[in-house]
Amino acid sequence: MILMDFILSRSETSLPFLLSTKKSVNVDEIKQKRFDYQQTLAFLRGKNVALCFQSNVELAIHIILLDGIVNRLLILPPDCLPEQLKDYLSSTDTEKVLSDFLEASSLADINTQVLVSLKNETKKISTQWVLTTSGTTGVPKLVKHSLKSLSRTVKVSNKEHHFVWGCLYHLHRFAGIQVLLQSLIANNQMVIIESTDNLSAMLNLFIRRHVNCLSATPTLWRNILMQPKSKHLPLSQLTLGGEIADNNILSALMLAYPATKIRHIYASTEAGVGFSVGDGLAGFPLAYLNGDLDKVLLKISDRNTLLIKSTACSSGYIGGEVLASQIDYIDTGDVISLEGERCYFIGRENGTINIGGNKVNPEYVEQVLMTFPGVNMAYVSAKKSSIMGNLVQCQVVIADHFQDKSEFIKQLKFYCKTQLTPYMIPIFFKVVDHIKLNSTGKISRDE
Amino acid sequence: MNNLRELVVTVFNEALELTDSELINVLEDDTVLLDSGLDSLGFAILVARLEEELNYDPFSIMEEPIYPTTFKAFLDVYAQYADHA
Repeated sequence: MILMDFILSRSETSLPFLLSTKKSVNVDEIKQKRFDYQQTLAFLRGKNVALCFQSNVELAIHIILLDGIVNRLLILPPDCLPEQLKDYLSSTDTEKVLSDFLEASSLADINTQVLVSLKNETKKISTQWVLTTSGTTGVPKLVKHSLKSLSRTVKVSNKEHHFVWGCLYHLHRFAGIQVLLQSLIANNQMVIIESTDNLSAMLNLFIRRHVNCLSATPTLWRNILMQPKSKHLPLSQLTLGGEIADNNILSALMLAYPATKIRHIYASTEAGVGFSVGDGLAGFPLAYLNGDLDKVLLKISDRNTLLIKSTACSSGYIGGEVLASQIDYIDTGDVISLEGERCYFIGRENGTINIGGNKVNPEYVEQVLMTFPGVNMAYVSAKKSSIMGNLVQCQVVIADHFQDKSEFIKQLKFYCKTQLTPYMIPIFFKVVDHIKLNSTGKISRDE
Repeated sequence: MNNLRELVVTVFNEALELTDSELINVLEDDTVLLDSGLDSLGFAILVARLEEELNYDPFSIMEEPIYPTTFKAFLDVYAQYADHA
């Protein structure tokens, strides 16, 4: 089945199944759009197509229209930097980009507009879905999936209970796609938020639309609890994902929603779906390492990273590299510490900093800092935050002739604002005489 | 207590500036923190900067988890844990 088949199998064609502050979408409208866009869809058939949308609802509609039509569907974050966007497009042989904000001229220098002859086939094809890993910076990877691999954990319930899903992730994210597919395939409703909505407006919409299943990062859950109206959310289940869930937020949620089923999800884009923990405690039980999980096997590597083997594995990376998981375990790069009968997540082995679900590569921020005249060397690291998991901090070595250090840092901060997205900007700047290097001459990141 | 309030207001304004945000209304006791103009990153910056100034972060040491909704509740959390400085 392709995604459209699931949509067309819905019996109530006028009942909205996607809802946001700006619009709602029902089956009749999807049918109409498929009719209106039939020429474009025929033109896109069998092609490699990228979607880059600021609007979550538009992204969802395009995903529904294009699965089963195009050869490859690359789903991009709307905030990716121009050079990275071009890298993504060329490494996936993308022929056509659909976007609600990009200008055609911005991609004029790359070969994304190749025309192929129109075909009249009506045969459904198995579209390859491509998702990006790790946010907007770092060493990005493009991971291949299919509708089948992405929807393996979708639960179709025969119960009378009516599920209305709320999702606080942008749909280019793995977690966002999971909620979209769950609601589309299982015949549930989904309330979609746009990045232009503020949290208060989102909560109003969720309450008005009776959202009873809500998925968000621990950081967003902290923010939700700080809104007085959060107590009116009629939740029967809630999940946390995208960053490490600590005991504080889990107990706060249990106090706020005593009758609600609470689970925190561990998933990596590479591994397909991971697993969930429902006992209300941070980390996961040691028993999970001994085969206590359904469809997922876990091990700890000799470098203390979590190894995972899942039956919902993706089909590999773009660029030829075959995922080891197809034969064996994937190394998630997430460092684990064992305490008694519990395993806890510590952070990323490669130093990637997770700020409320947004991942930042410290080396990228260092490179930006060092493009500012007078910065000789920069060291960027995570500063623990009880609110967002982590924040960014930095140390810089500056050229001798700058006497007024505080004025220099002021200028540097201003420069960062022009070069970096807000969560990437260091909040603490420290001027130091030197930065410690390891034996290979690289910045020592062990501290 | 007044000193604490003044410090929090100063750092609050810094956090607004760092995140290019503006206060929507005057900061009062019953102002809902996240409706004040400060976004979630700004709030995280506020808590981190206050830890630098006060040497404690109530949100990482509190036994009963509380996420304050209003400005007054936020100040109360800091006052309650002041002996951890």
